[in-house]
Order: sequence, then C-alpha cells, then structure tokens
Amino acid sequence: MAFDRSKFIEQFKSETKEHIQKLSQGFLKLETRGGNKALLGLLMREAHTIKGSATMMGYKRISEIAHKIEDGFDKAMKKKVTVRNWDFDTLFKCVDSIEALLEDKVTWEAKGIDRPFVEKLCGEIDKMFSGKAAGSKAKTALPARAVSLDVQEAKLDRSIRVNTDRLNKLINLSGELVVSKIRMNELVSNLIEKTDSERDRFAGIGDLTKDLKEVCGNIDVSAANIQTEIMNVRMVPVSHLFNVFPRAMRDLAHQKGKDIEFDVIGGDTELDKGILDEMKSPIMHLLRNSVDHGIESAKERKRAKKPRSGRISLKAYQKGSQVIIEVSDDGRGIDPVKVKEQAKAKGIVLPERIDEMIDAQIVQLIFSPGFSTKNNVSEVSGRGVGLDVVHEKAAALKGIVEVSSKVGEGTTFIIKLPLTLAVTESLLVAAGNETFAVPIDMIIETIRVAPKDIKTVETKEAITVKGHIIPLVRIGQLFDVAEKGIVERRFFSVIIVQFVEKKLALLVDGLIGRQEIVSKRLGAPLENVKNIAGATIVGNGKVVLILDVPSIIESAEGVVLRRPAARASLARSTKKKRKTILLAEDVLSTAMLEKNILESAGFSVVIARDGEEALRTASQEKFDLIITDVLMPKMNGFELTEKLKKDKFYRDVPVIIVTTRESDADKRRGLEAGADAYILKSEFTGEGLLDVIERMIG
Amino acid sequence: MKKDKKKIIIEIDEEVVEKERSSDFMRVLVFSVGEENYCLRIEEAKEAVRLSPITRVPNTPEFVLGVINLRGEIIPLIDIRYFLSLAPAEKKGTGAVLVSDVPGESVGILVDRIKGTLKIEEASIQPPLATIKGKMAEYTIGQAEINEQILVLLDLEKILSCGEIKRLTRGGER
Repeated sequence: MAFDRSKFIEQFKSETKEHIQKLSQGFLKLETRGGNKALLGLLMREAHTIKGSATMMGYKRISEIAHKIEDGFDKAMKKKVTVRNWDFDTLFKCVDSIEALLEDKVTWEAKGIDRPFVEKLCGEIDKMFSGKAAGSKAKTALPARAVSLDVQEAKLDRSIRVNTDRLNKLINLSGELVVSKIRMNELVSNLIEKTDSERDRFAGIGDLTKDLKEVCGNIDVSAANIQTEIMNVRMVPVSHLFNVFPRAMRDLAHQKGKDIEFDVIGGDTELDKGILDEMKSPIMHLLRNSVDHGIESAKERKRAKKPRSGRISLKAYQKGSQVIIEVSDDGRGIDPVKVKEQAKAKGIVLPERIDEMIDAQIVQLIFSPGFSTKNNVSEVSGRGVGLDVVHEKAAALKGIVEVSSKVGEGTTFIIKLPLTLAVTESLLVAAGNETFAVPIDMIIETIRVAPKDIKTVETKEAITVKGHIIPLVRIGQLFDVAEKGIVERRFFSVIIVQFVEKKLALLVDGLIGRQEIVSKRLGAPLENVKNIAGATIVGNGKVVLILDVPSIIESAEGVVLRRPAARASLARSTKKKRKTILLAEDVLSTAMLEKNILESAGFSVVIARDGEEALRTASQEKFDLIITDVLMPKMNGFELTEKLKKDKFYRDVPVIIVTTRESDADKRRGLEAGADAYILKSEFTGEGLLDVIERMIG
Repeated sequence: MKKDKKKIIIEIDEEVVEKERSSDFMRVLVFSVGEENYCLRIEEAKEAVRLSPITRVPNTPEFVLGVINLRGEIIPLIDIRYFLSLAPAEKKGTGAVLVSDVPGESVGILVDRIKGTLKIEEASIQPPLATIKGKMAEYTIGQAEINEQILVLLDLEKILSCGEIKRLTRGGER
C-alpha cells in the first residue's frame, strides 16, 4: 500500500478495541442467555469490520483470527451449521489475542501469541463451526435482549473522539466569552445612555444603537448555549465503563469457582467523563469484593435455602444532581457485631462512641482507613480490603460511598457522585470583603442565629438546631479574613453543612446567592491547600475559592470527638503527676498538631526538631513516653529509638513511631529498633494516638 | 473615562528565541522590583500580563499572593520579593505578572515593572557577587553590567522548585 499507515494506527487501535469489546459482550450474552439470529449476525459483522481494517493496516494475525470468527458466525447465522458445543473459552481467547496483537511485538510474544498459537486458535474456531448442517435445534434464543446491543451500536457510531485537554480549553474559553459578554453589555448600555442625549447631533445613531443592542442580545443567548452545550460534551453514558465488567465478572466467577449471575442496569445514565474514568477501579474493587466475600459457596447457599447462583448487580441512575452507582449482591451480608469488635480492637472509634452507634452507622466503619488489612480478610466476612481506598476515591470526586447490609440477605454499596465535576450549583457567601463558594449538595439549610444562641463548649462554639448540638465554625476566623467594621449584629447567617453523617454550622457575614459555577483547580503548588477544594471564576471575572466542606467538617469533628477522652484523662491527670512526653518531629506543623492533641488530653509535651536534639533533651529530663518521626535531619527515628532503648534510663520507656513510611520493611525496622508502637500518619487520628498512649502509660 | 488597556504586555515569540539560543548570546526578560533591575532567561517566561485582581488563598505561606484569572485559567501568583529577601510591596494591587510554564503548569510571578527584552553576551555574565547573601544568592545565576547598570540574572527554575514551594505542594502549611 502506498499510503502512510502510521497516522491511522492509533485510530485503528482504538476502533478495534471498541469492536472487540462488542464481540466480548456478544459472546457473553450468547454464553449466558443463548443467542438468536440477530446476535449472531451482529457478531459476524463486528468480526468482519475488525478483519477489514486489520488487513488494511497490515495486522495479519488479527485479520486471520477475525476472518475465522466471521466465517464461523456467518455459517451459524445462515444455519449452514449448528453449533452444539460452543467453546466460549476459545472465543474469549480470540478476543484477548486480538487485544494483545494490537500492542507491539514484545507484548504478544510475552503472552505467547506466536504464529503456531494463532494457527491453533484458528483451527479451534474452525472445529467449533464445523457442525452438521442446519435442521437440528440451535441454542435457545432470547431475542428481546439482543436488540439493545443494536441500539447502542448506532449511538456509538455517531461519536468522535476528542482529547479532553482540548475540551477543557473550550470550557475555559466559553467561560471567558461569557465574562467578556457581560463587560460588553455594560459598555453598550453606557454607550446608549450617552448617545441618547446627543441624538440630534448624529443622524441615525438611534437606529445603530438599537441594532447594537439587539445583536448583544443574540450574543447573550448564543454564549449561554455554547457554555451549556460544551458542558454536555463531557457527559458520556456509563455503559462506556460498565461494558468492561461483565467479561471481568465471568472470569472472576470462573476463577473463584462460584456460580454468579451478573446484571448491569442503567447503562444509559450519563456522567462526566472525568468522573467515570476515575470510577473504574473502585467499582471493580466492589465487584471483586462481592464475588470474593459477599457471595457464599454453593454449599452455604443451599443450606441457607438461597438460589444456587449468586446475584450481583451493577446499577446506575440519576437522582437530582447526583448519579448513584450501586453494587449489590445477595450474599451473606456484613455482620455489624463483627465490625464493632474489629473497630474497637483497631481503635478506629472511641469505645464509648461506638456503643451509641446504631447498626447502620457501624457498618459504615468498614470504610475507615486502617479498618482492615490483608491479614484479617476472613474475620469480618472478608469485607474491608482496601475499602478505604474506594471511600477516598469517591471523596476525591466529591462523592460519598455508603453501605447497607442485612446479615444473610446481602449487601449494597452505594456510591453517590456529582453529575459533573465541571458544574456545581453553589451558594456564594461573604466573609469580610471576601467571597467563598459552598457546594449546594453539602448544604442542609441556612438559618439566622442570634449572638446569644451561640454557646461555648470547652472553648469551641456550638449552636442547637432542632435539639441537636452542632459545632460552629466562623468562616472569617477559619480563613483569617480581615473583619469588617461591624461590631453589633442582631443576627448572623449560618449555613448548616453535612458530609456523610456529620454536620457543621458555618457562620458567614452574608449570603450572596446561588450560582452555577465551573469548578477549577488552583494550580500546582496550591493543589493541597487546607480547607479549599478549588476555585471558580464568577461573572465579573474574579476568582472565588470553593470551600472543601468535608475537610472543614473533619477538622472540626476531630475536636468534638476528642473531647470525652480529653476530659477523662484530664480528670485522671490532675490527681496524678502530669505525664511528660518527648515529641521528636522536624515538620513544625505536624509537631504542633500532635502537641495540641496531646496537651488537650492532659499531657505535658516537649518538642525536639531532630533525633540528636531529642536525645540531648532526653538526657536532661526523664520523660514518660517518646513519640518520634522517622525521617528527620541529623539522626532518624530508628536510630533514636535504638539509642534510647540501649540507655538504662529509657529501656522501659515506651517509644511510638509516627510516620508516613508504610512499607512492611519499615515497620519491621521500627519494631526491631525497639519501638513499642508504629502509627502511620495516614491512619493518624487523635483518638487512635491517645488510645495507644493510654494503653502504655495511662 | 476608561482607557482601553492592552492586557498582554509582551508576547514571547518562541521561534525567535529558538533561533538565537544557538549563538553565544542569550535573550533575557528585564524587570524591576523596588529599586533594582533583574532579568531571567526568556525561555523561562511564557508571557507577561498586567496584574488582574488577586484572590487571596488562606492557609498558604506569605510568598503566595493568591490566585488570578488568566484568560479563564486560574493560576497561582507568587511574590518575587520573598525570594529577593525584600519586604512585601507597600502598594497592593499594582505590578506586572510574569507567567511561567517552568513547573509544568502556569504560575504567575508578581514583579513591579516589565522593562522589555534584552540580548546579552553569555560571556558577560559574572558569577554572583560574594556580597549577595542568603536566599538571594541561592537563586542568582550571576549578573551582568549593561549600560553601567547591574542586572541580576535570576534562576526562575530554582525559585519555583525551592523547598517552600515543594512543601506547599505536598499540603504543608506555613
């Protein structure tokens, strides 16, 4: 061929991937429900398309495999043969081989897809389709089911691929257009005002300004439409992602030797492409969890008088401005009693708090970081492996994940996601002279509060709403906003926000109004700024920051949660001598955080900025406990621990290592050095830390 | 009343930059902060724009002035004065913004005034004076004397990858 193929290779690859995905779905349908003529024809055409383009692009082996499939299905469809023994493993092997063959030589050689392999594969396909002539009964069909696949095909064919970077640029530009438009409207009205008085001097100016105004109106409408339409471009049906799961589930079920029926519902539901792409691994995770631990063995199911095959379903639907994704199974469910035990043992929640929780709240604890590790998979009906990761991912996408479960009946994981990350409806609020945006989804209500209704509970403010005490945070104080000169106020505006189960009252200086905003990142070094989730550009071109409500609630909640423990240990420590703790930590903010927590629990704390300093300080005063970071200048935490443990004065003083280093080797290293406990910063909570300390020196 | 402000002060022609790099000359972008003139390698700056309203970002170190709107993109704005060991500007809301892509994403750097571009002989750049101390010395490549004026050549890449900024990126506070 004379043409330059290289330009088309990428296109060919992505198209072929789509086609093999459809083949894969078709085979799956055929295997689970049997096929009809329409389905066979569809598969034949898919294979034909792959064959054609592979030949053009010079992918010979792909074209050979596709050719055999096409031939076979053609015969089957025309009833020249009847396939008695569908060999689905071979068909799926074909799909996998084609996918591998799209990659480079190294990949397919590594997977053993060489010439003889392909020939053997082709032989197997031939064999499958070499049955007797028609007449004998074909596999039973479920015609209604096959139709939906056709519909989908038509939809996909009308789409084109657009680089998301380009799309984001378009979104930015359309935003700019709207801003410029507002400015232009201003200028035009100024112009009209001015010329009105001078109408006599310039003949015909009245008509001109009238036309100008009309054109402006048209631009208004178009600009608004452009913005909405561009936003819509980001929306894709969830089936783009969901289509990969049936095949994965088939393999997984085979692998685990479980009989599973898998349903996908609501594939047409649309979701922002950016969000959907991020959801692949969390959903796969939940599905795997259901297969692994949710669905019981065949024996167990029989004993429980359940249908032989387990049911797992993946469902998506829209509810308001949210898309809900549900993964449910009819397996053994999660036992709250076991979760409770585990949570207590791990110090996830304070014991007195967990006793107040109802079962529905308790099962949510499985999402807590550090709830479960690989070692105790089987303990809590196996749930919890990496569920904190699912939770984190959902939170990063401004979503929520919940679980509802009934022992013996099954489990449903519910992921609630915003429709799009791009547009969120927000409430703009004022604090001093600054404006902030609060996502509407997080807001329960806005109320007015008189100053006398704000109560102080142990240096923290709180208000009572419908009988519930809700901690109160003043946005102005939270963000160091310069205060406006108003001294006396009869009322304050307060927004009640909620994330998962936790509520918080945010006191603001004023409510500006609702607005649909386009959420944007703050740019590289500001990505992780505390309590700020992003920013948006409002009508006048100004940048407005968006509050990170979950993180604000979390930091406020931390204070509230800690209180009972603090009070308890305070009471105790006033009787006894105050215990002293040496804290070796080089990052000042971390040191201050830990110091705060420890001091509020009644300990006296001395900070050392590196290992050497810690050792020096330790030689001057006898501490009751040492807490150390690992990575520090001059002397690291391991060395410090080792040295302390060799000192006869400190041999019996507990050492806790608090660090970000999560590898097992590090953990081992720490324990070898003689540390009495090893707490990861990622699992770090005030309660957890205090619990450990309490156990050691309480 | 309002004059039609030209928003973009300098647009850098990448082709010209490319052509000139091969010779013994280098092109620099000259700007002033306080009383002094400074410059940086022109490849390190993407464009220079007039300062638009700044939105302060809480919980950030003092050298982060906030964020600004650059044609619909939100970019952080960093105060060059901090890295020159100068006190923050007294007059707020004035100055020019150098936009750099050096860290891989756009970042704005607030300076007082953009003076223009200049071609200087690479050989004329002297190592930093021993009298320059502390933070400033760390971020100086050298200086050149042009028309009896000392021009300090700054290392923007180093400034934008300094410990303070790295710490901030990781989510640390002041």
